[in-house]
Amino acid sequence: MDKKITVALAGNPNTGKTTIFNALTGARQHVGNWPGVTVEKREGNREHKGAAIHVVDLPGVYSLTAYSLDELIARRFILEEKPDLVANIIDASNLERNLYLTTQLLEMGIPVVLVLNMMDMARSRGLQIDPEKLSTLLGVPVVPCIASRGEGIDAVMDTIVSVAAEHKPGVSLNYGREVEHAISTIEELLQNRPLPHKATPRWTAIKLLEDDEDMIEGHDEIAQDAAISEARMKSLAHLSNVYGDEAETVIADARYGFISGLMKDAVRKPATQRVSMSDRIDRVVLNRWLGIPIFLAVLYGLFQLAFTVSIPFMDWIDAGFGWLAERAIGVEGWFGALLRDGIIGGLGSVLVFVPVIFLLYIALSILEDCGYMARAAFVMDRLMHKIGLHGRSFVPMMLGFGCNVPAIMATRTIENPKDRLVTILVNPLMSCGARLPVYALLAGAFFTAHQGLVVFSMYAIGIVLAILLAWIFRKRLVRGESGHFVMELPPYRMPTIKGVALHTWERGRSFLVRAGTIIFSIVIVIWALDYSGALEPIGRVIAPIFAPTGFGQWQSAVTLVFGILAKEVVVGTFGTLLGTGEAGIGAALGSQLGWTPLIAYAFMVMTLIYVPCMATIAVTRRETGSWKWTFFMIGYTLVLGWILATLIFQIGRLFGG
Amino acid sequence: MLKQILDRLRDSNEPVNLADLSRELGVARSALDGMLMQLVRQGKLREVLQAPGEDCGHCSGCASGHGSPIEVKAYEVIT
Ligand SMILES: Nc1nc2c(ncn2[C@@H]2O[C@H](COP(=O)(O)OP(=O)(O)O)[C@@H](O)[C@H]2O)c(=O)[nH]1
Repeated sequence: MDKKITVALAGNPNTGKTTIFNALTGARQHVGNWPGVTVEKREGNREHKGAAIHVVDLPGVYSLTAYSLDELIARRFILEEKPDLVANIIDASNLERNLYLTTQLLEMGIPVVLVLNMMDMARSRGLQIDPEKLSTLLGVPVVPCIASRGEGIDAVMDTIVSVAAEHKPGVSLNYGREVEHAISTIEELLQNRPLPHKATPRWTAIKLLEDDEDMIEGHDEIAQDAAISEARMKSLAHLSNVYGDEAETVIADARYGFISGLMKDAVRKPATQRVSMSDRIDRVVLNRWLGIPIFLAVLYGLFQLAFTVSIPFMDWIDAGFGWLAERAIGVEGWFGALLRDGIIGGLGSVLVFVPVIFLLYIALSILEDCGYMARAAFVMDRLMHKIGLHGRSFVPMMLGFGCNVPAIMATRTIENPKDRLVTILVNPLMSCGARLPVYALLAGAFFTAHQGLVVFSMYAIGIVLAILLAWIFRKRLVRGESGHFVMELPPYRMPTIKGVALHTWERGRSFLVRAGTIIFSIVIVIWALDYSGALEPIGRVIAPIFAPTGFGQWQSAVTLVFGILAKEVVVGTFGTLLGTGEAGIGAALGSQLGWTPLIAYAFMVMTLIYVPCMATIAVTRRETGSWKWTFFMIGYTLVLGWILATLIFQIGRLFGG
Repeated sequence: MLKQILDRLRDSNEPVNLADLSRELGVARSALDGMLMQLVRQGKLREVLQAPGEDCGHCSGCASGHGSPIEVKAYEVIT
């Protein structure tokens, strides 16, 4: 064997580097570690056209900065071991991104072969890459290949052998007059000195201007040298003066500028820029004017659907409990009362709404899984930003539709403590699944023809209030700057049955578990208190407070108090106190308490707004770490709920409601 | 390009959609991802994590504790 060639494979992750490494070396591989670290180092050998080729697989990296260990390993190997050449593996379908590493390899002044892998993917995306043009512009050979099919591997090997023989580096990037001047000033001072990692003076100069930690902190002999240090500081100040930005950014931008030029000259994108389906949908869904109406329409449709579909199921469950109630009539004494009023009346009345809750959860899961909810959050965030609010709080808000507890926990992702606090404080206004049985019960009884619309209005009121209060809180209570964001929306996807089922079950299960444990226990306690005659006096003390709202009966007052434990309990308490009877709770509300549709609506608004449930209060305390803000939340929701319910009832009465 | 991105974000009084940014700048999405990553490393942007990353043991909005069912990856400009 007359020639020995060492070639290092460098490339971004997922460009097919491993595939190419295997194709090049076959079975003759050796796996070890890079010196001093536990990062895997793979090497292999092969012979080609009379040359013994030693292949070293460098860690997959996007650039060669000092920010990560992998990048340090890669660049130190290239600098110190001085392989004969670097084969830069590129994903041709992501050329623009991959070329950034290429520019940094060229900077090192080492011979490079550009391996344009994944040409099949590039073609299927309609990209026409001109390898010759690319080769001319970069000053290095360019070899197209499809490694997964073994196409082009021989050509890669041929090129490796010929480039190793020539040993000619590629073009040297030009960073523009000012930067080049700075580089050459420092470069001159570096001439004829031993440089860290055996780097070239130009490369070292660039790194010094980039504030490269590895160059500055690790190498006092260079960085602390008076002349070099002074030249560097002067240059940095000058560049920052000229460009209004750090040299690091200016240099990176020069690389991007170079790449952008390459893309223009050597790549033809499909003539009519293909607008993806996703983009087309987004144009409508994210439209400045249509976005919010569409979101509201989607919500409305969701409730219409949930109600229409679930009614027969609810009727079946209702009939089931009716049948049970008939059987229970014969049971005597307190146990019979417990069975009829506590279990069937209390728990049964909540369980009747399981179908509508599950349907809501299914619909929410579909909207989430297909990617729509992320868009809705984006649209709402945009609105929030317009009125001076933080731009990233709507994801937790949307989660509130499921349950406020995880939604409040999700606010942890909001860095700014003030924005986070506001988002927590208004979160309970996003109507959760537990409040749905209350709406369903009352809408079903008092607004038969417009159930979906009435329930939708609760959610809409919740959203509007949340935005309004967030705005007020931000202005009055917690002032501060808002952030600037760029958001990446997930691609639209067809929801899978498995995914939707899983997400629905995750939410639905907790509802069932709560019904079987907390709600069941509470309903029993309520029944016992009622049976022993202790509830009515308590209710009568509280009831007058609610007189102006229309629901000033002691039963309603008791219901609201227990509803704080868990919102579904509102329905269960009515069931226990009024008995489900022949015609159901709805009818009993009318006949026993004298409720009208207006009172029912005021009560629904109250249920939406007033004091969040215990679990939400607990998580608020934990997440804010403050009793003050927790009590503030309890207080403002109670007052706001009362005021709105009163307004609705009083104004409605004027109009004869 | 990096400077353009930062300026565009700082000048905007609302969150910017990454897909729009990519179109405006004429930069492929994957390349833009790379630039954002670089800005993160330079300490100019902060990646905002999405999931609470913890199963709260309550009714799960975070599907089986695997994180938020609504994915929006976001970067915030560090001021
Ligand atoms: N379509 C296509 N896929 C490829 C090509 N080369 C590699 N792959 C696939 O891309 C994936 C990533 O390849 P791998 O070699 O592990 O990439 P690495 O992360 O750079 O080491 C694997 O599934 C390969 O089978 C190619 O030329 N065309």
